[in-house]
Amino acid sequence: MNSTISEGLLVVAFRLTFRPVEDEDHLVERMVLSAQNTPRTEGSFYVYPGLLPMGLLPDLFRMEPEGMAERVQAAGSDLKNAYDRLGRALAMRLRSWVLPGSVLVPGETGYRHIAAIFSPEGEKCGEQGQTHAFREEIELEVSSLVTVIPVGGIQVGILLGADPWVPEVSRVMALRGAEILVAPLAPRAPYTAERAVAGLWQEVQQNQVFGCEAGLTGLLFDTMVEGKLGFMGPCEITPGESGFFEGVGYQTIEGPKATRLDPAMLRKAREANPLLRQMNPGLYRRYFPQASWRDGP
Amino acid sequence: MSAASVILRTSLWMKSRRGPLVRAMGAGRKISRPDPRVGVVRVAAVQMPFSFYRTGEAFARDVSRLARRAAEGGAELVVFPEDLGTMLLGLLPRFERIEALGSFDEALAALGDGVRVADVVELASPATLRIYRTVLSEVARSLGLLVQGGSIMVSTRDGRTFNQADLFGPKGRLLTTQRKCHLLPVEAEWGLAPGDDLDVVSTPLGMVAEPICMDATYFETFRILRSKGAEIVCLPKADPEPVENPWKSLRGLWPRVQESPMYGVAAAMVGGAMGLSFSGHAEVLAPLELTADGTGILARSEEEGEDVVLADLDMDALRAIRQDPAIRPNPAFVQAYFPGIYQGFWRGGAQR
Repeated sequence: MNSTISEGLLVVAFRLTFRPVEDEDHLVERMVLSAQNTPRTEGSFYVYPGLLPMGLLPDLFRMEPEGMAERVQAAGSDLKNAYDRLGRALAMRLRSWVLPGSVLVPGETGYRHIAAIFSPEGEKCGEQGQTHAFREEIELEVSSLVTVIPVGGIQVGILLGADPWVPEVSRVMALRGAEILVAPLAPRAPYTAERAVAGLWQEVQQNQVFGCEAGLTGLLFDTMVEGKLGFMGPCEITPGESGFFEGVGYQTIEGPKATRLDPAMLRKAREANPLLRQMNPGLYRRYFPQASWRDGP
Repeated sequence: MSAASVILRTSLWMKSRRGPLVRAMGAGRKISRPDPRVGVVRVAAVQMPFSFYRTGEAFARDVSRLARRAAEGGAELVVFPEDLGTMLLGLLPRFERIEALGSFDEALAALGDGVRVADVVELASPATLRIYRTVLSEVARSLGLLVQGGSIMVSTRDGRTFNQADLFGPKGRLLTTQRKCHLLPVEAEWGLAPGDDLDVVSTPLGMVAEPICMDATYFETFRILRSKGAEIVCLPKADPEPVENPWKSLRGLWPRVQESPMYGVAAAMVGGAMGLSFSGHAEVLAPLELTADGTGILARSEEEGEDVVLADLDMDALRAIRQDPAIRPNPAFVQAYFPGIYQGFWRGGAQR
């Protein structure tokens, strides 16, 4: 047996269409069913698309409130509790680590966007909030904390919403030890190939980590979303030096895909091309943090 | 300094006299150029095959010819590739023998035990820098262009060697010198030192910066430049890859102008010599929303050899998207982690 195949973490990611569901049991069944045609290895890591569990509260979106915050506030803690139960149930069914997509939960006055990872025993291992808002996400309350979560001996960072396009977030995660960045996304259409490559793919390249993007598609209530699916790594260790595993470019058909990500490969890439060692911290210390948000004199 | 070194330096200095260089450029010849458009800056990026020059005059002729081509196309700014001035190391006596050895490493070994590129540059750079600056300044003045002069390796009086870039104004005045702040591992082995600051210059065309090649691998460079107001970033590059990989070419300037919206003008060294191979294309890049086809590419050379590509930059459109950014900054987040996050990497700290 080729030892390189059996090492590392088997990661299964999905591109799925958004659908309202009757209850948590139905959603668990749908999510388990979606994984049907992938290798069923216990101790894998399943990554579902962003906002997929929002289908648990279809009534919420039949309301006609003024904004997203009002909608989410109306749901109270229901969705947060349902998300936690969903994650626990799914992880135990799959006997694996699971990131069951992301959800919007009430904030102090607006709403927050969070995702969590659950262990095969059903315990919540860690949670991450979206740290940067798109221009139109006026009521989103962003997080200012980064969590790196151990998954099967590998450190994982979660990027939500706009975060794959903010290099500071991935840099913090990578320098704090993240080896895989996962992005459960529900990006608005049109989500072009260029827009996608400018996001997680870039963060994977400039931090020499693995990346996994899972995307929601279809009509998310009143917004068309167009997520993609892809596994990424530094160009030097991927087929055709494309920066992608399991096929060049992003997958745009519905379904799951699985690949094994081995940190030993990352170490090889970093030895061959020691990008982080060539950083210039003395320069950065003179200008950061202000350089991150100041736009000209 | 040994007597041999003094003789060598004197010999090189004699080759760097201004008169023959200016005459070689044929600077007096008139050119016809289209009128500039209001609010639009036309820029040119040069793609140039690497070769060692045996005379300053040959260097002057080539640089002048390429700049003239840019000016005739209506460019107000022309950008040359990284290592433009490094090609002047061919002025060293008996360089043809060194070049015949076939590789950089063998050539260095032939010069003596422990000789580094930085040692060679220390000997040559008083003359090579003089030629480089004379030619580029004269090109800028005679054509009325803003000229980014690629880069040149230069030794300073304190014994450090830098890969640095000069920017000349349309009257021929040196506006700024930028040292490369992020070195390739091989450049560190050659004995080069990294720069420690980034400059942005106010010009009639806009706010201009000139980081060098590898500097574009790091988002931090462009965040700093944006915070200083940079609108047009000139990027001289010489990618040491024998064959260009289209995916790898998306890792430098292209993502940087998406993250920190500005225009990028990349000039590429191609070809190679003495075992060094360069690949890539001259290109002009922009934020995705400022390109009609959404690719972020305004112009890109389709040639493998020498070329000059031109593109128009809509400065008002750039300023408009910077006024209303697609992603809102989160100062609390950045203050929580920066610059402390770099602590373990201070001065070459171990990579985790």
